[in-house]
Amino acid sequence: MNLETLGQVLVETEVVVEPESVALLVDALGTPHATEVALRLPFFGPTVGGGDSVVGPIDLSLERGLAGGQSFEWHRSFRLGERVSVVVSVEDIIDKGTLHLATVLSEYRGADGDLIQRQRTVFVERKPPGEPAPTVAAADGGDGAGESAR
Amino acid sequence: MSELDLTPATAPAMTREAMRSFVDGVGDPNPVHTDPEFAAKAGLPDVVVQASHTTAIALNALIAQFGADAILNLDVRLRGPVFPGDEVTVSPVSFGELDRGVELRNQRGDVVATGIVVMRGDPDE
Repeated sequence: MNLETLGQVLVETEVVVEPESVALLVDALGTPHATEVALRLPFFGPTVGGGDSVVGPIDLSLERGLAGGQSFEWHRSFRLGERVSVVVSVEDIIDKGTLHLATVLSEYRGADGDLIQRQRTVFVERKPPGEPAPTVAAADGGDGAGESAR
Repeated sequence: MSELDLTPATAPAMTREAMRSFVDGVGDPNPVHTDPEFAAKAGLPDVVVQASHTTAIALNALIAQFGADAILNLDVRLRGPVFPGDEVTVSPVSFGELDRGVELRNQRGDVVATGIVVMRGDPDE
């Protein structure tokens, strides 16, 4: 992972809650409340700006990395057909021994700027074999190299 | 705070078609959710369910029993993969008196995810 992306805004764009996309989610869930569920999570922050919009800059290996967690803060449901603005940023990205961890934050706002949702996804990536663990000084942010590894 | 008054709920058995439909719906092109060969390269025995899909299973159980407006926050930790054919059951669990928890287990009893829920009216709302 690229620890230098800490704090960076990777995506700033507008997206539409497409009825066709919501219908796919409803089909996938196949339950009586599927539409209500789909309108609470129609977007995946790490790919809302395109497949490589986050994976590319943070240099996440899809073969060594997986989502380890996800959290949602809902202020309201999305509405079919509405246009929303979204900002995706790297809230945290750290070196943790044999792993890299990154938290990707995405915030969605409606046309009048009202916050609809905050969504966080935590990625866990195994380091490739042979890549060294951080030194104590780096892990503590005690030198220049540690600045991005805090 | 008391444990969630949630009746355990089992989601429909996971299918490859549902997994494909979900990732197409949210726009996640990661082949680990759709391509068994890629999943094998990642050391997995089969394709795995997308993160938001697992979250959606938990959320579906919560919305079905409490309504969408009652659920303010959901913090999910993915603890194991969900594969095609898996039947995931969402149950209440206690992580301590301050948190309302849910636990997702597959039909073999493995915990695949846990979640902490904040509901309208909770002290930390």
